[in-house]
Amino acid sequence: MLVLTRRVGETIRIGDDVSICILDVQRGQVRVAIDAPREIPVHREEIYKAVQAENQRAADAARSHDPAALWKSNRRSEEKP
Amino acid sequence: MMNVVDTPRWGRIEVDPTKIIHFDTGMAGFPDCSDFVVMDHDRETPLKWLQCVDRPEISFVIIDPAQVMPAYTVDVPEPVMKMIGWNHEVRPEQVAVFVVLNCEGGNLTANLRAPVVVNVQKRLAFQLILDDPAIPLRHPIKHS
Repeated sequence: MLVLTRRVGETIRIGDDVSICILDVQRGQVRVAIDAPREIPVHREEIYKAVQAENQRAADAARSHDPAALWKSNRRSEEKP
Repeated sequence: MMNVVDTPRWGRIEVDPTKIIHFDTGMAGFPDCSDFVVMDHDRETPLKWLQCVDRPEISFVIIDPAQVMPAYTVDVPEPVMKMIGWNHEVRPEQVAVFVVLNCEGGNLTANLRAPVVVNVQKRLAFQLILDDPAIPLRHPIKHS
């Protein structure tokens, strides 16, 4: 892993077409501007990981459950007065 | 010419290659799953399946978000629009949006955070990841 230090206003370039500019540093928070081609999605790590994990769990659960039965039972409980 | 896909859930299914929906970057966490077909679950429920063609063991239960959250809207960023083949104005009939359902533990929840957006005409799709942390990964479907 490459570790490097940058000042506010400086940029890191990754390959030909990705650049990350440090905009601001305040109280332990860093604001960055990321410029990347549209085919490279950019996400906050924790959000992307959460969605990956949720997809995995949804695919796993889909194998062992009957979603239609769950759907209908939810509907029934909703229709009760 | 139909392709035959051997799925653990449905057995051997015939897939019309002209019905395949292509995800350039796969579903999140499944980068090698790029080709899918959408199948209705049955006639009684609005549930559908997003069945992977590349890996027949992978399938997701999906639904039109209007069925679980009528006020749900998705703002598709321009780069994503371009990625799935929209360069100009988009007509509503060219767009399909699905959300993935999770039935883990016998509770149905909808992932409103990462909707699947489909260009119906070109059959190109992308799983969007919305930035707003207030949008739930697991929206309970109890009172839809």
